[in-house]
Amino acid sequence: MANDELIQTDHPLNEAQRNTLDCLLALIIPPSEDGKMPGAADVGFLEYLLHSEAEFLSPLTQVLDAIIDTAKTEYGKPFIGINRQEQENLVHSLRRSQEELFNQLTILVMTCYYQDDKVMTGIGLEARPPFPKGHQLETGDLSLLAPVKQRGEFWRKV
Amino acid sequence: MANKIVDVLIIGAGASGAAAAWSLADTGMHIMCMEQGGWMKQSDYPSNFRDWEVRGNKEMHASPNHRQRQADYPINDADSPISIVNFNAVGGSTILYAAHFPRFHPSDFRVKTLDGVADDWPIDYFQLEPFYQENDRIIGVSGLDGDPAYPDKKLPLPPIPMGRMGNVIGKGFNKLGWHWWPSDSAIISEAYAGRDKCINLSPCGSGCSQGAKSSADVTYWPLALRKGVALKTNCRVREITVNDQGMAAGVIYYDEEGNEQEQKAEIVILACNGVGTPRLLLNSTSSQFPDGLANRSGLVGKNLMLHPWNYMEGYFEEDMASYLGPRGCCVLSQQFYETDPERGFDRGYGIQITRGSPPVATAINGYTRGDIPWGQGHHEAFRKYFGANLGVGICVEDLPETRNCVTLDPELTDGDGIPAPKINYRISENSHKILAHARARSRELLEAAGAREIKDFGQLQYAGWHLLGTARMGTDPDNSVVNEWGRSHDVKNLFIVDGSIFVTSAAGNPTTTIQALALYIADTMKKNLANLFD
Repeated sequence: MANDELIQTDHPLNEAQRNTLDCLLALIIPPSEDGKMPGAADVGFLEYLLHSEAEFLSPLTQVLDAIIDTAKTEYGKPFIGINRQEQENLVHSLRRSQEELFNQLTILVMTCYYQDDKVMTGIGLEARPPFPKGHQLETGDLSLLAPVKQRGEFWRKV
Repeated sequence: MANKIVDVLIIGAGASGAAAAWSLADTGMHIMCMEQGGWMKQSDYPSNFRDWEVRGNKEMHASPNHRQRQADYPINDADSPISIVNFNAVGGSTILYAAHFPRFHPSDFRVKTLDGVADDWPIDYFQLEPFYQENDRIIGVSGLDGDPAYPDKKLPLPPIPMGRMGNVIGKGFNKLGWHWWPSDSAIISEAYAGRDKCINLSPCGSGCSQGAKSSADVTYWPLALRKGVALKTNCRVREITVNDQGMAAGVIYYDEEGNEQEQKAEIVILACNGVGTPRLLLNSTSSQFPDGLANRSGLVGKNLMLHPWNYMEGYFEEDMASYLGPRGCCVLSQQFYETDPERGFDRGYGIQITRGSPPVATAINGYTRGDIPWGQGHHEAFRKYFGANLGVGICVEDLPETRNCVTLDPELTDGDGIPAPKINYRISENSHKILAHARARSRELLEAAGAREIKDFGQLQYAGWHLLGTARMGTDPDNSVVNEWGRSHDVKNLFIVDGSIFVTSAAGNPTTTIQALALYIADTMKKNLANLFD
């Protein structure tokens, strides 16, 4: 057994799976080109999963193993050893055959991503829950109601 | 074990039960209310937490079948395109409601006379008007006076802010010459009655951490308790018992520990909503009422109305910060509320403009629709949709049909072994015609407002918020379950005050009318105390 296939007792994924997960997350949401937004590999997805969606760990492991095995079969290399375009092609091919599983994964990744402090700040929000500070909201222009008022009462008489 | 008899036993501590308890407490009678849920804590609501969007879709999911809290009972709604949503706690479904608070119109009480459909109500708008007003004052309702779609009404608080999206959609309405108005909202826009004002947390639909949403637990209940009403929580009523004279004698219920108990009462009032009330009546069989209590008309559980709901979203170039503000309360239109024979259907619909999506929902919905992809294009696509959408909800007036009904499921039960309700519901041909008309108008509106992109999500499944008509009121005992002031035709000390007694559904959210009716019935009971059972 190669070293990278060993599972450390304190980690639910082996090294190959962890590396593959980082690559996969970067394919789903890479860092923005302007550097303002982190990538999905930088927001603690695995910790989030274990804390909030632990039942998805097994399906995730299946996905990662499928990626690792396919990379070995098709390229004779680990997934992290093939180039970006090859990674994309491989993953997209697997997505087509396991659409439901990849959709679930994507939803979990996006859920984790858009709760991260750096991401919240990056999209213009404060990294906090809504309560207790709340939000300011513009009143809106009530003078726009002038034509409605001008039309006059129109409720149906009985 | 039998507990000491009470004068009045109210079953259900939601919108109607709370209002009735508060009003009847004036009599000095010994009033008890039983509620199958407990008190909710504002500090536990999702908006206290960073993962509020996720929590809102799990522990505070609108469907009891998904949520599965201990207080919930399952509902078999597999034979309905609309799933039932509710909440079981002190405050009932007002814990989760959007607090959009339009009154019925005078015409809603006279649809048979005006349009030849369904039935007229045995009461009219102007009988209810003082109770609408009283309810607005007690709970705190915000809105703008002068809406030309209604008889004159004065609301205690100024409107909830429309935000930038209100300006955008208002211009669209104006371009088409259609009616629109800031929503009447059961949310306080200013400090009121010891509660602090709305601070635009946004997720009203999963409980209000601020206490600014006027749910029954923070409005009527503190007042009713101070007036001496006893509220027993975590008690699930199994059946209403009757005595030899055919009068309600009390209830059998399960207490918090699951022990069977009996509570006797001189008067029983049902306030369990349009699904819970027929469920309980149908489960209360006896030799005198073999088909269920108060069901000699055969109409208990029949005529279920649910308001089919279409939802369309528009996406705009402008960042409107549309994710801010009370989700369901922005603007409404009643341009297509009334019957117009040229449209080819009876009655009409309300248009409710709702706020945009918060970040997680924007990303997931965008991905699911195919608009927000994997890869480098993700960030640009997200920015294009976040803060830039608004919703057009269509509330279809659902007409009563006996085939749409609540019965008891022969197999499914709740945690105490009580049969679960089963829903059989079909969207009528008339409602389908309304939906088709409304879809075309929704699109027209969004185009007029300048939407760059429009998505029609169709008729929503999880939209069974409004549970109406399953024990309707009327003067004819053969054609109704309760009389014109909520008293059962068959059991003269049994009253119903919830949405079950609606004769028609109108085309708007019903809670203000439910509460006005509960106050009206309680008031009529007080006026008739000396001969209540004659």
